[in-house]
Amino acid sequence: MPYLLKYSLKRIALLIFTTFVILTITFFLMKLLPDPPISGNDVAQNAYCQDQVSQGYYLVFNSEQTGLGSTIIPPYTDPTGATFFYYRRPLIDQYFSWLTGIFTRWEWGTSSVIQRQADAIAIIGERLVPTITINAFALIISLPLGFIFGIIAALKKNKPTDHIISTVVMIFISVPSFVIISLLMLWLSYDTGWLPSSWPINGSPISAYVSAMVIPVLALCFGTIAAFTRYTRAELCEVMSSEFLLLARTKGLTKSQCVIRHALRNSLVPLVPMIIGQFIGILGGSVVLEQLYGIQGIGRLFVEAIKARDYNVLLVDMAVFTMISLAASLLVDLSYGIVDPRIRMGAKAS
Amino acid sequence: MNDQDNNLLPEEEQGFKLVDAFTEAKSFDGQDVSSDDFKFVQQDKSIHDVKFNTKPTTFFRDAMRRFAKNKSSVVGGIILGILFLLAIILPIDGVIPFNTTIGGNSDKVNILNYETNLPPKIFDIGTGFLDGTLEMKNQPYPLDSEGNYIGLGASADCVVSIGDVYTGYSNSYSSDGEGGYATVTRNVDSSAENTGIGWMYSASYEYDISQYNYTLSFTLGWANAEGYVQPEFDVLFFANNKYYPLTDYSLEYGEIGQKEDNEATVYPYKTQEVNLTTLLKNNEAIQTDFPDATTLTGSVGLIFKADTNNKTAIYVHDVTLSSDNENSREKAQLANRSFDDANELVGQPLTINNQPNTRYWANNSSTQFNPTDALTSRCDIVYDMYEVKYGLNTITIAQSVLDNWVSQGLVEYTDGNPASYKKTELGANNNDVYVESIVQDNGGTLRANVIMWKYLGYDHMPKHIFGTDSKGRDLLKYVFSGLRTSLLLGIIVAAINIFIGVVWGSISGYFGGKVDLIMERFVDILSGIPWIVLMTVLIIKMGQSFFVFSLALCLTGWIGTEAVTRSQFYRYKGREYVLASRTLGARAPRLIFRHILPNAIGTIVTNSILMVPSVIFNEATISYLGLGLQGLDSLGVILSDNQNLLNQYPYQLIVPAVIISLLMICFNLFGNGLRDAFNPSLKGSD
Repeated sequence: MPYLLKYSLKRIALLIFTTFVILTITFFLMKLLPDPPISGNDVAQNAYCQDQVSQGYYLVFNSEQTGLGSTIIPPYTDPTGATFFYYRRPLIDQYFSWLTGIFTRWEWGTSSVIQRQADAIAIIGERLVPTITINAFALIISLPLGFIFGIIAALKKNKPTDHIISTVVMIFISVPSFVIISLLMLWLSYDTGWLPSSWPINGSPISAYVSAMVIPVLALCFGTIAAFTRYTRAELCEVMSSEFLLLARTKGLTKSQCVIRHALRNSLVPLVPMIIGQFIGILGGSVVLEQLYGIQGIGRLFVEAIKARDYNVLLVDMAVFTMISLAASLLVDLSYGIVDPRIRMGAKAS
Repeated sequence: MNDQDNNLLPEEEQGFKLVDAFTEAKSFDGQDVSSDDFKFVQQDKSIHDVKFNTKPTTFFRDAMRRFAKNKSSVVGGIILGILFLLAIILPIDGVIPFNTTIGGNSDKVNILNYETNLPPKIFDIGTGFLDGTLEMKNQPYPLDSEGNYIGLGASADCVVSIGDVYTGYSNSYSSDGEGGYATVTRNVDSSAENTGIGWMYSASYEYDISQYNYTLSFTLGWANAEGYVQPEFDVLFFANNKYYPLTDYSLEYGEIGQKEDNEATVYPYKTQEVNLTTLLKNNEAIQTDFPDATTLTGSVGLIFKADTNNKTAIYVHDVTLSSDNENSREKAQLANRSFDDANELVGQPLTINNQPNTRYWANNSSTQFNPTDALTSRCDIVYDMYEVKYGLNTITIAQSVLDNWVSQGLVEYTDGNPASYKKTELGANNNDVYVESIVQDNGGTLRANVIMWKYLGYDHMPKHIFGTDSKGRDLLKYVFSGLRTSLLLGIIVAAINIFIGVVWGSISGYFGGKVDLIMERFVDILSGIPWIVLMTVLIIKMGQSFFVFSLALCLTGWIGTEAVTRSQFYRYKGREYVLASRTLGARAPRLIFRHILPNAIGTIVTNSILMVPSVIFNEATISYLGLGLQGLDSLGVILSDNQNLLNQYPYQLIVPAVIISLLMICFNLFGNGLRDAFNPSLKGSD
């Protein structure tokens, strides 16, 4: 399908460009803030500055310079007697060293605060695991449940069952996720003591992670199930009132045959993009969740990086977030065309 | 408009007369018809369209009629209205902590932030629900010597119920603890002996070595979690700031038992016993420093040495000093320097009445050691927190305050004796009589027992229906003032967003073409940036004020309205009535504002109603990330501040959480109802 390929390539190019623009804006905005203080003794500070020099953010001289502002740390004299003076490079130079690092060596720099001198990409990779796990589990659980509740509500439209489901859905869509997780923590861990009240520390046994996953997954599930239910119900209701279903009934199909063979399949069309969108939605929503439950995921990392002003980690984290959300919107658009060939995204209106 | 279509015009005004053709036909035979039978009705009348007889209705009125049929939305709207009203009325006299200072009146002592962490109270005590009680978990069980429950220092009157008592082990001094082992950090190598590491020594005592045999015996407890420690030990004597090793690590342990998991009471080491008198007499260093001494004054102690690096703690179960002297004073003195209850020993103060405490065993830096595995009895106690805070309380007062009270007649001296006071009987119901009794302790400090709610100036014991927070603010007022801030932010931001979105979407949708293309690309990039990133960068860059917050929430917030407006413009701009108006010479502003925009107004109204809760939600999210408003306590700030009190004072989180949830639900109900009313074709697709 040459058309789809062309369209996808165009969108991917746009995706990379948008990410680039966003990262550039953030780079300058963040770098305009004062640097965080460098912790540690003078040897550690010197090591840190050397690292920054090798990444192209600082300049090092053996004598005092003028016109470059004040030195970052007091001049450091190493055991051989050589003295180092560290200065901040001009912002635009830093930007180009950062870009060169990415484009020529795929180096996104090292962390300056969170894990001093650790590779930013490695930190992200490590933190991505719990986030993806929790979100995937939440999606796996909520997808079938939301689907089932939605079908029940649609088939029992305007009956008490539907009213109950719709009311519960309404409540769970409205109640913020941080309220839900707080109440779950209160009930399941503080009051009853069944589950831990925070994420286990690194190196805990698998069982600790499993039991710690229940609360965050549950908290994510409520909202997602509600969203799925609502969409399924709305779609199915619309399909149920369409003419081809009436035709099917008049031709003698039973109601269940109609629903299973015709209505459900057709209502699935808009649901596939919705599923992808939902995954991104909960990925973004889990920033607060990770913060509250102490999960070492990328959402929490993002907040930590902002607070500690750890630029490189923040930029990689943001690149991941932006790429995921943009890629998801691309996938959503493409999936429209795949599940329903009549839809051609990006085509000129005829 | 269906109602009007069905409204037929009155018959006589229809311009012609209806003839019953059937009945006429029967009598018609074609002959006796005169020309008079044929005439034009209403020949002289001029006929026009006639005004409808029904009352005309507008789009809004029609929508409101539909809205009123939606019961749940009406209920949502009413609750929303109540919340709005409460948010305006309740915080009107401020939310600063009550009675932060009772200043200005010299007969009262300033009490800062007194009414803190009171649980919600609506019903009277004993109902078990919202009655101002709080369950404190893991409280020391037994009563102290004065019959008070140790946990809160509150009197027994304040205790509503006591749960089952459970025992546990504590590794720090616990006032209710019992037994356990004194924990000594081991000495690694003998060269550091003089530094005192690994020492434990008793208070000094005068040992009469010429007459009596003194015995020192001790038992070690089992080892620490890593396994057994089998330290070498030495008995030491410490006098004139000099350290005398007595046994030179020559003594051996007996048999060692097996440590069982979590078994705290097993101490497999044999009791070691040494004759102090013999050791002291035979020690060359002591004989050199104290030649021919009949009595020796100093501290007896033990030093432990073990070179296994990962086992650092030595557990001493008991140490007993005894002598063959039957003198009761000496027996008491030696018993005082012995211990078999490490927890009790560790709880001893260094000095009593400025005299060194002879029961005090010190380690290397003259400080106490921690006990290990002291047995504790704990239970969950339900306190009536209002009685604790507002009931009888003791405050320290100055002499001048007391003088004031005496001059006011609140208290009087008994028998004219200034050292004793009693309450004056001014009438039991007089709220001014808050003083119950006055006590003066040995140090001369004056303490008054007062009924706190009277003292604080209340008419009766207060009830805080939502409780109070950690700064003594009434949660009802505080939460609703937070709601006010949140709503204000939400409404301002929604208004700005709607304005920008409508203007941008109108221009983009109306002009289309290149203008649209460029404007849409801008929106694309802006909406591509995760809002949380944009917001946090802006907030970090510019601070956390209300203005910056509104700005941050406006940056991408208008995109939704823009998209809706733009699509509405695309839908309506090609319609015939717009074309007609254009041919009549109407310019763009007139076409936009008079002809196209009114069609989109229903959608925009719905959009703006639903934007308020989303702004409040976003603000709360940002607060949870620690970047919330500063200086102004919005609902989000209250929620995130109280998050860490979830375990101890859950109501402080539940109250704002319930309010924000209620707000969100009502806004959604109300907004969806409005949308259905404005646009019936969308009904049910929420």
